[in-house]
Amino acid sequence: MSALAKRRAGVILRLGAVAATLVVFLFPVYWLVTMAFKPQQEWAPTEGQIFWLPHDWTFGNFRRIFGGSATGDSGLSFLISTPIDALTPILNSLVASVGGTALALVIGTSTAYGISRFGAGGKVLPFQILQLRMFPPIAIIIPVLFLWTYLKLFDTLPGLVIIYAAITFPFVVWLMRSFFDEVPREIREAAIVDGCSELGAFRKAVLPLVRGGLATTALFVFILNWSDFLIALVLTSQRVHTAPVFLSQIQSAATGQEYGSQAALGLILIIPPVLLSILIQRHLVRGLTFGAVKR
Amino acid sequence: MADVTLRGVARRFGGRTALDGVDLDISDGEFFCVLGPPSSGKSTLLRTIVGLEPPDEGTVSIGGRDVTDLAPAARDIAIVFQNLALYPDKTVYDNLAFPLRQRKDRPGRDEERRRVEQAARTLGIEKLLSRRPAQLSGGERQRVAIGRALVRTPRVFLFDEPLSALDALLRIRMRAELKHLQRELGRTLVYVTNDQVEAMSMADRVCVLESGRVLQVAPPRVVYDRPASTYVSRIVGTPPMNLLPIEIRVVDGELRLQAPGFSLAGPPGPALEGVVNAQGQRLVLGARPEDISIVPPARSLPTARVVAVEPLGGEVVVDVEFDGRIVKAIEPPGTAVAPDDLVGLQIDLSRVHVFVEDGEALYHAAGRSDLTLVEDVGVGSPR
Repeated sequence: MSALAKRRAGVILRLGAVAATLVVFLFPVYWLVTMAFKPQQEWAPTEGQIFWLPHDWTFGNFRRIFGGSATGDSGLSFLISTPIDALTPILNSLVASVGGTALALVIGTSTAYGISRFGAGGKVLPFQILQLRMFPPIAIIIPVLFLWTYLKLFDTLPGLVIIYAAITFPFVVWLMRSFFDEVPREIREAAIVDGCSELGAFRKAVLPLVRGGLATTALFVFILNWSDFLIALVLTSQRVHTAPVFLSQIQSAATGQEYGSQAALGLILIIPPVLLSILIQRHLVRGLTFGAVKR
Repeated sequence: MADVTLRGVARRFGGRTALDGVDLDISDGEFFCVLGPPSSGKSTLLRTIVGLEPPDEGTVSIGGRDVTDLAPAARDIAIVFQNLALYPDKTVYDNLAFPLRQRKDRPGRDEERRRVEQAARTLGIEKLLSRRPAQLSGGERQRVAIGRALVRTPRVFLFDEPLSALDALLRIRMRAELKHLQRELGRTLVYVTNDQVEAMSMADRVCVLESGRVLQVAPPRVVYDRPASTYVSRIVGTPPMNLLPIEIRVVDGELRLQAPGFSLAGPPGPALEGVVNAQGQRLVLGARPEDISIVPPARSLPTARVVAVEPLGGEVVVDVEFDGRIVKAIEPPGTAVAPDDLVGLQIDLSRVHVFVEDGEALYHAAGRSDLTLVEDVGVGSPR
């Protein structure tokens, strides 16, 4: 085989591998998007016919999850069991995720700064914090349920916010600590000599340098909270169901799992993380500390 | 008045002593250099003065006021860090304006602009005000760091090896500029360095620090001409001072300094009293390379063998082997010697020193001719 042919074979092989990987990863997305727009008749193959793309495009699934009817207002539908509304669960999810993320960021970032700059807690504290993550959530969630009931936090938004913050706190500490470690300690000292208070030095001199890290951490933690199913399932009841829990319960007596409605809600749930990533994209760039000090 | 006074300042980190009872009196308007090898406590000293590092013991006063327990911001001091520590996310203008904006008596916008531009003009960086640190060259960043210290006209400036990362040419230029700048501002400046050339060329007075102890505080010329100890003698001057072991005896009412291969005599008068009193201790004779001349061998002179010749352009450093040790001499350019030549050593006796071995100075000739070379009578051999 000539060198050129070899190289060509290599390229083809590589492209093949890329294509195969893409198929594996994109298939669920494809499934989700197409399913969200399929009418009920096309959810499953009928008479051996598979609907790779929706034959009759419809927004019915979206209408259905927001309290309407899948077949339009006029049409009578045997599908409708009980009207459902995903709006409240989505809002619940937003509040709990954003609140939990914000709380974890505030506490975690301060903790990380203390550890990185002042050696707070010695060598042990960072590992103790990491230890919190050693237990799988399922192992501790039942005791937490009792605790939350006792504290009257069960099935409340503050209860979710607190547990989300607690669970993601170690991530924030460990991520932010490594970002703070990269900021030369003289930056803080220069700010203090320049007249800043300790808090002012943190806010005006150090924090701007870890913006990128903070944005990355925020996105990471938000996605963790946003996609939580287990904790919300245990710690909430009807009142503050989050979107993932709500999604799992969309089913009707007539059809069993409502694939179309679930896909529609799934599609909506993808939007916030994607939007957030786009919003903070320019902060996700590293190298903000470049030029601070001589190397 | 912004004199800086340290009294008994001590600082330990774990088991390591960084500062060991430091007493210093830095005068108002003085260019004061702290010279010492790495980890001699220089940086800790600066950080103690500025207030970032509280001393374990002792006091720091500025302008007659005890500031030991005062926060850095309240001391009216500026520091230029070794790594500069510019704010990389801010423009040069904002870097310079930052210290002004943190003050309680924060100036208005116009006043701020005026002062930033004035500082920028002083340092020749007025065209860079809208750039960020990453877009600057090493020398420009250096100036921005100095500008940030300059802009709020503090009483005392502290510099922590600020030139160490610059290339050699830029360093020489910045040295002259810094000296000039300090003269112009007339403010107290404490400058920490491990580069003796920086200390010698810029300082009004030099403080030699080693292992957290002050070995000598004096004007550069004095540190050079009358080093307080062998350590100081070797930290200042390139190549360092030659040290030769000697023994001393008093023969016929005359002091004899017996070096390997030659001996010196002098009256045991007040000038040499310290040396006389040190009988029995291990002593060394110190002679700077420029005070040793290479001459044709003669019976009356100590003889040595040339080992290496390093022409440096303006001068030639000649390494000779004398009594099993290397002695360095600085000769005028064009000196015609080659390795393995046998040469005579002529030591300028009006410029020699006597030290306790690894210890303090006992005698500096400092221009006086107390000592004379005598024919070796061969009594006893030196160690």
